Amino acid sequence: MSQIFSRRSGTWVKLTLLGALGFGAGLVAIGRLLTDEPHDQDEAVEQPVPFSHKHHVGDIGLDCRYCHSGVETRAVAELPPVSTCMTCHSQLFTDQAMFAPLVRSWQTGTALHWQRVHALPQFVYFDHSIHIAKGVGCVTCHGRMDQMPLTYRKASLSMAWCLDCHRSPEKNLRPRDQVYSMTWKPEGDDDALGHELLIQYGIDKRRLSDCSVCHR
Amino acid sequence: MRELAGDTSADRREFLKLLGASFALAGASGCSGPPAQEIVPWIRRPPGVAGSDPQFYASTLRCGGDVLGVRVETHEGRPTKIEGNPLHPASLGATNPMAQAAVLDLWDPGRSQGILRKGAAASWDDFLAEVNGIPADAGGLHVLSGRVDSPTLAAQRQRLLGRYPGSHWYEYESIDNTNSLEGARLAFGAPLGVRYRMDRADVIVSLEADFLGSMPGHVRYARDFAASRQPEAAGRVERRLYVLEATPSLTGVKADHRWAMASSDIGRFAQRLANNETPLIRELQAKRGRSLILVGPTQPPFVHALAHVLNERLGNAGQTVEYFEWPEGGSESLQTLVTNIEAGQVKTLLILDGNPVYTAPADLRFGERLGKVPVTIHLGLYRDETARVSTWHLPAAHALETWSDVRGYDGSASIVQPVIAPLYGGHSAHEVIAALLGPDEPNGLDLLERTWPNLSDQALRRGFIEGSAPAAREVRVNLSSIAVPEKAEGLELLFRPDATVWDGRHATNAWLQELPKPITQLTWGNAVIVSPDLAAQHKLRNGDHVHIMSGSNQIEAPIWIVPGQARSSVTVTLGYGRSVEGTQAMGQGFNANRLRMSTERWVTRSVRLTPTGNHSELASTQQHHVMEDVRTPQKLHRSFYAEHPKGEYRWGMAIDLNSCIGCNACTIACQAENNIPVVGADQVLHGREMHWLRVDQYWEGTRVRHQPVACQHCDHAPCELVCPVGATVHDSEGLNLQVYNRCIGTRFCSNNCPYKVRRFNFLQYSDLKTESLEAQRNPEVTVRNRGVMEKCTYCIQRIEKAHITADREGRRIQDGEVVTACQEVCPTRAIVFGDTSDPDSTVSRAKKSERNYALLEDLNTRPQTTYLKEVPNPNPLMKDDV
Repeated sequence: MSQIFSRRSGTWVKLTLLGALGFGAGLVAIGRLLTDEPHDQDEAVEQPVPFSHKHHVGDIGLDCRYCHSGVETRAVAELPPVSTCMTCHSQLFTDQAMFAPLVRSWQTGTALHWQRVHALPQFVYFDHSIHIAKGVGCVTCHGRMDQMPLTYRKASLSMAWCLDCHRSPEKNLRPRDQVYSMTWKPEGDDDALGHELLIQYGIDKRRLSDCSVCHR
Repeated sequence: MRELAGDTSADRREFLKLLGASFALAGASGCSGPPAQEIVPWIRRPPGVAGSDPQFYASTLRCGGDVLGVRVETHEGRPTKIEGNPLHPASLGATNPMAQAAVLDLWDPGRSQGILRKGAAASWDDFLAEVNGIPADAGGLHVLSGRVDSPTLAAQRQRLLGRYPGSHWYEYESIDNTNSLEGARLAFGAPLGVRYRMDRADVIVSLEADFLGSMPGHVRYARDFAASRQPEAAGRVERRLYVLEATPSLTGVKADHRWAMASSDIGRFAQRLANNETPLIRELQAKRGRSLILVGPTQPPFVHALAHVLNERLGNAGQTVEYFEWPEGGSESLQTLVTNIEAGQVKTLLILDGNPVYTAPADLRFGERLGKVPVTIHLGLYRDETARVSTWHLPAAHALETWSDVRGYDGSASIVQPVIAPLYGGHSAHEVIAALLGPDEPNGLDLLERTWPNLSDQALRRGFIEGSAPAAREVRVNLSSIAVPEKAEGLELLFRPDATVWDGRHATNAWLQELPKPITQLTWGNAVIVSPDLAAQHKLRNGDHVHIMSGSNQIEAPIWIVPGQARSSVTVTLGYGRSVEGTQAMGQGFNANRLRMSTERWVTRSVRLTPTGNHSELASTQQHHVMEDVRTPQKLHRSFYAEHPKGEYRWGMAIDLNSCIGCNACTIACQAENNIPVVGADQVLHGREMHWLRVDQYWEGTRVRHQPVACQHCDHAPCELVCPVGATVHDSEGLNLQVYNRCIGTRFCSNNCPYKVRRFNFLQYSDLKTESLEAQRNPEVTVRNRGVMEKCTYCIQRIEKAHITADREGRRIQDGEVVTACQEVCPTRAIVFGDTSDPDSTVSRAKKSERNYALLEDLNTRPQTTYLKEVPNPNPLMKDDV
């Protein structure tokens, strides 16, 4: 009885399998590219005015809430109106070229279009105010803003990253008066303070990893 | 919606081409993923704007025949949702379906967006030039408006008639209360307004008065009616409602006794009642001063006069019924306008926010006659039937874009406040009249302050003017004799407002089109309502076409069989058969106005009905989402499901069926709150409507038991076990969640749900292309795409909001802090929601009632939503017959 498959057929099978694998990998690659975020992690984002958090926070020592006034009471921290910039910049550096868009915006009443650095998918409902109220520091998610000449995203903002903290929030809790501090570090056994704060803030850990906390 | 259905025509070759193209495109676009988002902050933050938090403004809406005080929710300046104004006497925090849908009208891209002169674009200055050309002494200026219920418009009317001597102002409403006013004139010698005190009435006899569904004041009446019938209420008196009507209304199907009777026979019943010839009178006499006889606007004036006689004799006047003077009367009728047009006196006709070409009775041939007027100016939201035959068309400003004022059912005045600048350059009726009055006439808030010189910020914030309701007048009936017409043979044809699109003014609204009409559960169209007997006699099924002949007029229309319809009555609803290009009103239903006569606007006697043999499928939802068979509850066994972890709260709902009147306001409030798309008539016929909350109807003879059914949030949810991807899961506070981003659309969950409350996006129902509709949506709720399952979430966005606020302040969520959209809108407060782990919460107390039961309890799903059984109060001495 002759062989059913020729000698060559093994090669064809291997090639087909390889092709299928390649096709699959291609699809995955295309899918990843299609859903890629507009700005990479750790990549500085170009803005209409090269605003430096390093200068404003690190050098001058402005409080976060001076500009991001919604952070304690609202879901979004909010970008300040141009009028807030003008509290200083109606006097300072008004003649510099990099301020031209800001001055033009103020004089003509045309809005500035800033690029969003921290974007979440539309089915995620993040709320700043509750994180601030429960003692999560700005640094925890946004990194050392006082060392960023141009703003970039420090965290991946992936669901796994969110859940890391939602499953064990004690790792990232701080006293309420240290929330806006860029340099605060816990003394000694950090978990002990975290557990203490967990009770003090009345954080219900059972609920933190429910889907409904972020998705509606 | 229609594009979706037509989309399946692409063949395989086309598909491959598209596939190739999309791959090429993906390569060419630099593989960038979703586009970068921008943040555009204010230059200067306007005072009073509270960042990204929603803000509420008090205003007032005319909806259907009613006037409701509302709070308009705005997100960063965009009106997104209407809630009732708890301070307003006609609303008390609730609304009806039409008020809920008003926000969709505002954003409707089909609205008229430019001034037209003879169909060509023109400007407001062109219009002013035309208006300035009207000579002040010519006497040729005529104005036709809807009912003048705005004190400011009435004042402007006065000034206009003074400025142009010999000019005329006419009023026409397709659905009006002329009969009621004329009835008062018969009885008291003056056309007085009538308002009722449902909270004081122990025995109510309604003669075709739909005070729960369509009469002005119905939202308030429904509240008082339901509150007075609470079985658990302390010091409760037995209340009873008798209804006589030809075609089932929301009031009729809720009654303790309902008698189906031809509309033309009700007058003779009223006469028998007045002559003490029915047993009913004994019960009424026993409740002297605490009974009430009320008559619907569809009954002729003499029936109203008889009711006034009866109410006076029973000591009800001043107790359960009050009479007051309506201050804004004084316009002429549409018939007078037609006479004047025929006499050639009308040189310029201004039509303010009405569509008389469509709504006028057929015998007036209004559209034809409009051609005889040299200049016609039409102000309207749409380029409707009247706009197309007018010389000028001006886009009207929506009520949410206008300053105005309006009087409600009890005569109290409320403020109409704009919440957004006109989107499409519309003008209000006041502005158009101001243009005619010259440059000295103020506009906007200045004009209002002319009517109300002491208008305070407080009144603007509260939305109404306190103490503006006319005082009740003491009047005596002065009536010698009443001529009661003889009994007529043959079929009568009744004209009724449509439950959702009213007289056609809401026909462009997709939410209202798709909202199942109570009683028939029809969507996207109307039908001829016939009784089962009449249908059997002609061997007709639902959807079979008939010819209805009335005099020389005839229409062909499909029928719908409704139990409880009087045998000799057929009913048609107005508002369909519209033709407004580019809107939802196009091509739905038939136009009943073609049979309507100006002398017989509610009932036409001796019509003929003949089957044509044609048939069309009507999109009724009555048989959709049918639940598992109702069985005798068996003994509950121990559950084998694992118990869920218990959290700090346990959310639950109780729905009191004794209070529910089946108005469907909850369905549409849910739609507005949760960004629920409409699907169109074709998809409804496939059973694919997306409403998360449906109101089931169970017919019991000629009465209906209503039952709102949304996701029951079962503790042991059958849906959760069958989801292969964990897209529907429980949370620690007892909610059954649907996670859209996990859902892959297997639909196993829906298949396994015994309550049939899950809805699947078979197609891309949410319109993601129209920019203005995006602006309407609630930013707190995800917009779902094709292939995703969705269902009631207990308004999780509202729970989360309360959670975050309370957690931030380090306290528990208070009872009543979370109010779901359906609960908030409910006119009768039938729905309560809250934390069932707190034994003192309102919902826990409601669930302690012995009327409390769970739906399909024997399935052991342990739902968090439970129902309180309805307890009717029939008279043991009375059989369902007169």
